[in-house]
Amino acid sequence: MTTTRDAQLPEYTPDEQAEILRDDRGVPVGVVERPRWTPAKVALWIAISLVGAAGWTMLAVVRGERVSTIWFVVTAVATYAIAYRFYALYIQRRIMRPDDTRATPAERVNNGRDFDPTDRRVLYGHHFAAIAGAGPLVGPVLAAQMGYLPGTLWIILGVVVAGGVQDMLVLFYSMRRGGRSLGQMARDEVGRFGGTVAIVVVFVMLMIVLAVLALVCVNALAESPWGVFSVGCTIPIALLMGLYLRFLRPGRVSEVSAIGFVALIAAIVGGRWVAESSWGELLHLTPTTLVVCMVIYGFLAAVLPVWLLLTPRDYLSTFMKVGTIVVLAVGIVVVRPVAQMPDVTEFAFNTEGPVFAGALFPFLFITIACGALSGMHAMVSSGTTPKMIQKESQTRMIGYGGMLMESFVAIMALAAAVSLNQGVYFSMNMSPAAIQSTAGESYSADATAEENAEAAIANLRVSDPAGDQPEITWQTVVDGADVTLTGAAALAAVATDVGEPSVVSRTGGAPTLAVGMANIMHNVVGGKAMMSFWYHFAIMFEALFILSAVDAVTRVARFQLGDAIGNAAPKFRDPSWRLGSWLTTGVVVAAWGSLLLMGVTDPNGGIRTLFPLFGIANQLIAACALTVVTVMVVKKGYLRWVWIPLVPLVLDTATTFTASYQKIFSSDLAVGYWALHQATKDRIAAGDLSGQALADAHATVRNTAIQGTLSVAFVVLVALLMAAALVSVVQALRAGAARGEDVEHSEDPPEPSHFYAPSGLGAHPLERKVEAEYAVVGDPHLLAAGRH
Amino acid sequence: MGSVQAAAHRGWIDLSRGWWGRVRVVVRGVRWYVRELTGEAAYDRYVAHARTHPEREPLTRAQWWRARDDARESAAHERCC
Repeated sequence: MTTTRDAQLPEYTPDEQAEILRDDRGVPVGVVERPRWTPAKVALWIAISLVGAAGWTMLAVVRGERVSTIWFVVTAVATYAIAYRFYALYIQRRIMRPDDTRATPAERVNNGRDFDPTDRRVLYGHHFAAIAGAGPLVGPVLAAQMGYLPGTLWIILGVVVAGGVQDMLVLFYSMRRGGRSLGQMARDEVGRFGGTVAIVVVFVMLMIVLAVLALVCVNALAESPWGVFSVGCTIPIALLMGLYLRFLRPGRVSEVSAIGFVALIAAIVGGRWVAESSWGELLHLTPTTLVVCMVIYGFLAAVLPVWLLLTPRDYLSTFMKVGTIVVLAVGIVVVRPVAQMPDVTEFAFNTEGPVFAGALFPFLFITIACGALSGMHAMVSSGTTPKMIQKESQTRMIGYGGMLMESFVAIMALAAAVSLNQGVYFSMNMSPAAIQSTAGESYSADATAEENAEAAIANLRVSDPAGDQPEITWQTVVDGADVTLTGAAALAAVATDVGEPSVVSRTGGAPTLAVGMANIMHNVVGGKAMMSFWYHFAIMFEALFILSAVDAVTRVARFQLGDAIGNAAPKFRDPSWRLGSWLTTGVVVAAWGSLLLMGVTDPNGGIRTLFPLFGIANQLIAACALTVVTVMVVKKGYLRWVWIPLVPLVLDTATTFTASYQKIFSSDLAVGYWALHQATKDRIAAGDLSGQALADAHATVRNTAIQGTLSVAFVVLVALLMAAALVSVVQALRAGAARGEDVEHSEDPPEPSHFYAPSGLGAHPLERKVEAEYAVVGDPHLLAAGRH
Repeated sequence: MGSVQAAAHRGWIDLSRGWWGRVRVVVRGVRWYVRELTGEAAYDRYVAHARTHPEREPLTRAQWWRARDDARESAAHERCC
């Protein structure tokens, strides 16, 4: 075997030689390839464009007939390819201008801890695992009440012009600033006031985000002994993995992950047996009990050493994440389920939607959130990932490419949700209050939940694809024969097939996605007998996503709070001060825990009232990030191309501010927090309420006041940040940015790079040759481990 | 140069072994990716690097991972919704 050291240096043509960047010692550090349009490449891109055009035609024009969800996937992939190759590259050339002769923070600092130069393909995996969570799975499922078309359009087009752009630009500008966080960049660019506002906004919104994520998890596990058992098992499994790694076999991560994965599958399979045994009743927990469990768990996870719980559970959730996404993609391609939902439903144009209230503009954008544009990504794209990039030119692949993958996950979640029967979908996603009010006179307190849901669906003012009233239907196997059940019997059969006591009013999106996934996957592996396994597999993976977000974000928020209090009492800045960390963790947990409790006990359905607040919060963080990016683009002298961040910023501002306006001022009781607040107060004052109805009314008055106040606070704070940003833009323009001069001073001064790595996912032929040369002439220890 | 040739060039596979060599490329690739993603390979890199400083005794695997855990303790750990 020959080693690369003895290998000969590759030979270059003069054209190739001209495209290689070298440092002062002649070591290659980058490749700037000029596009060469060979006939094969032209043919390839024409083919991709034709496939994309065919997909869009199927989705948007030929929609009278039922559309196969495979078209969602095909259209998405073709559009992503074109956007990545052309639009993202255009942005890179205009307002990023990566320079591979400059060392990245990872190469410069290289301390073996946070500044850790990481292979681009590995970093892509890390970045994707950090940005992908339950958001892109849940949002599209809820938005499916408007039909499949609005969601598909926004998930695909949104990522192209907004989500990918935000992630990539924040990543790039943070990398040029030593990996500084969004809050720090806001302070540098917009001033002390703007920076403080950004930090406060982000902190409050994190609490909302955590409360809603936890609410989704609680709704998925409430009254489900099987789910409680299998998800509960992840905690002891993670603890054992942590101890194994710490004391038995340090560093054997793949080994312990494999053991953990097997234990996880065993927990899912064993869950059925436990649920059906006499232990099952003990695990039949009410939502309120689960809230208490979540709060205790969140506190412990944030104060326990990370090696014990957080790190091992992260390994589990990363493998589950990748595994489940691959499984779902294979399922959709193999089964090619047909969309059961119409292209656009009545709920896109009125506020009667039972899942969430509000018309397409702006509430589609608020509800989809993470799959198209997610403010939370700006937190990973600044601070964590930029400290690990090896070469500046890799930003497009990691930032834009990572977000494309997230959007792809959202498209698959949407496909799984809309391939469910419409009646089943709405029965699962209507709160008990919505079922009662929709069923009207047909509602009976003595009837089963399934019968009341059937009555509600019969009255629901929505049409199926043929234009008729939707009907609840479900295909199942009874005594070995295929049968199609309808109405309440169908809902009962769904519950039996997935191994749950009931599927009615299982709001939050997670159970719907799990039924959708099980409905697809049982056709690939296992048939009806495996359906309950697939359902609980999906619930497990969503719960893992959410739990790892809950404990990680609780920790992040605890550090932020400690830092903030540290301004007055410096001791709080010390993360190893036990009492301080317990106090700050307690405050953080109490903040999201009380919001969670409010959601769980909300008489109008927690998801329905809180999810819009979550979406608005998330999209407003994106508005903050895009505002800061816009300021940086102007200061850099790129005024001509400032429309690139401005297009998503204007779109996002329009949707979030309109949504907030409607939530605050709308007189429609289904939408406006304060309108419902006042109307409920009036009803209490009228004195004709008593018992449970009176208690519910008091809860509604309290909850709407909290939600309304938060809505006002968010929008005022973000408007303040935007005003401060406008001031710094005007100052920059006066200082010379209007003439295209570079007036920014917060980028790190350039330092020469001595390292080479290719920029895309796969290396081009020339990049491979340069890699081979670098292996011979480069410093093999440059990036090997920490500096000293 | 295709990926198989590239792998042969790096001495990973022997092309005369035919399809078996190709399977080994894939297996090695997956193993490399998983070890990198989990951080397992980081210790090996540390040891390789520590060899350039023979005056200092390198940390054992257990010591190295403990130091890494301690460093993570005070680091924020970002996750999204």
